[in-house]
Amino acid sequence: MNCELEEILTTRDLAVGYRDGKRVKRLLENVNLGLRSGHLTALLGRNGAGKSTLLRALSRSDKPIEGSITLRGIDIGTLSNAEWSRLVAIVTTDRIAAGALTVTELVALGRQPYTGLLGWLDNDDRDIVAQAVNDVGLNDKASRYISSLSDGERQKAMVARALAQQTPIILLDEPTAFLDVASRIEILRLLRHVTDDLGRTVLLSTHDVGQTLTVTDDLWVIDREGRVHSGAAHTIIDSGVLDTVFPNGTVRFNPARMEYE
Amino acid sequence: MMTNRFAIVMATGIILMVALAVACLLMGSVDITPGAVWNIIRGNSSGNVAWDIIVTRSRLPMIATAALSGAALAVAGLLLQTTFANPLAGPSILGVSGGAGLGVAVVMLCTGGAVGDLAGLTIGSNLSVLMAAWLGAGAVLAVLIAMAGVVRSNTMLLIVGVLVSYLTGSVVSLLNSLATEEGVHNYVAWGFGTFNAVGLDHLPVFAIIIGLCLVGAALLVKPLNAMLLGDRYAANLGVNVQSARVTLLAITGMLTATVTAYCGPIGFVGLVVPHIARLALATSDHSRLLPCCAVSGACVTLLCTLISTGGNHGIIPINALTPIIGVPVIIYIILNRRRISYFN
Repeated sequence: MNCELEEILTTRDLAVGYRDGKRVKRLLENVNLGLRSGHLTALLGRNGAGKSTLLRALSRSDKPIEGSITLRGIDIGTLSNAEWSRLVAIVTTDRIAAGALTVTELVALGRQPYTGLLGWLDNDDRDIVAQAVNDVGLNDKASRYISSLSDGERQKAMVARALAQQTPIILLDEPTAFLDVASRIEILRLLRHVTDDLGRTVLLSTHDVGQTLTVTDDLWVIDREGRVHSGAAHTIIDSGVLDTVFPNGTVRFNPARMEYE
Repeated sequence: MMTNRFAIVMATGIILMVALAVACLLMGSVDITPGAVWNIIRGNSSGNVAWDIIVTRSRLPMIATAALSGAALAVAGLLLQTTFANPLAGPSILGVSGGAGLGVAVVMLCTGGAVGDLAGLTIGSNLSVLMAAWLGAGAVLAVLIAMAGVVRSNTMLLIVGVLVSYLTGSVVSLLNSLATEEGVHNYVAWGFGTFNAVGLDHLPVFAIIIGLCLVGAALLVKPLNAMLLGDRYAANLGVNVQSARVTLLAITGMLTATVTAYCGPIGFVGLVVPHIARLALATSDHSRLLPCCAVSGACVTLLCTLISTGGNHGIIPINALTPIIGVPVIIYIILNRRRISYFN
């Protein structure tokens, strides 16, 4: 986190995809990426391009088909569950069945990697949970049920849960999907705050290019051929790679307005 | 505020449980005066040998069996609902009780006994019947895990469970056609559900198995809470999801099978009580739900026992009573699922 240029998460010759019976369907191949420590990185691509699949591999939810993923030089497959839970926290679009937990109780689940057999919180854990709730701006809703929150607030609670996990890296799969414009912007601002002020390294995937480009440091872009381009956001925007995201001749990226048209 | 509610609900539950147990002790087809019951409980004789026997050999073991079975089935239901992320899961609806019953039937018929007549066996052969029940329940759970990976739909999995129940039921009936008339009678009685079959001699084994399983379940509240968020989050929190699931289902199978072997396939308790606990506590947190389920489950089965044996009528089968308590609760939950916070 101290060295701005350090790559905290690195992929080498990575191939990801899914297994369909005996056949292996490769979505992305020869992926060589480095997630820069202390940066906010967005993974862009059209629907079905393989964003979630790549993120599932990076979050150890699925094994890569080929190649390796290393975290500070260590193959992530060799880390124990306990070690992993203190290094990378995730925010997914999975349905959760925690409607009757309060915001504080949900965020407290993020302390599980640090608590004992029965999961009891000590005072430090409680402080960290309260701080995480505060960091995402849900202080006044701390004892509300998750089921009573709006979609945007719920997403903030999930980010707080990831913060309470105190991992250097947070991976978010489509954190702004299903949200209205105001909530989308709020979540992106929150992730900026998480990166700049709380010192975490953040990678989010999104197909919502408009708002994302202006807040991220780095971009990983999956083009229509399934190649992944990476670099600082402005470099990527200038390079014209964004024109290659969607099928030929459908839309073009307008750098002046920062959106597709 | 939250802890207060937990304390109030638990205190109410425990008082209710004790009151029901006392009522079961005092009421029955034979009128025994409260004073005499009190004397017998304290270890003295009431002066009436028949009364002594009824209280110590029949009512006391029945009450203990009912309370333990209720706690066991309710906790089994809670574990099933969380591991399958399915609020309508339960040991009887998923066929786990049926699998246990089949295991029992196979062993008892092979050894010349009759299904449901465990109390007539020695402890040694009893354990082999229990083992068979565990295997039967385990086999059904294994089928369910395999099917859960394929069907991926909660409703479909429930239907698979119901089908498995029918199948095990029909196999047991077929096996029973080989049994003696008395055997068939015992089997039918067992199928109705009864808390009378454990008896004083077998109660320690019954209590120890269920006690150990309940302690085991209590030690798993942390992964259970993580699993509320789904497998990916649970794994990300350091839970070995696969081994946690297998352990949880093994405990569920043991609890269900032990109760089923002695008391018959008791319906609805495992399905309904976790919902009663969630509604009472207004939480999804297993560290509070689990003890509440155990106490509420005991209350429900004690209430059924009281109605079953407490009047001057003949004995009403337990399985005739559990749906009367269970079905209204389930319908209430289905009708109000938009409003109930743990569904949203």
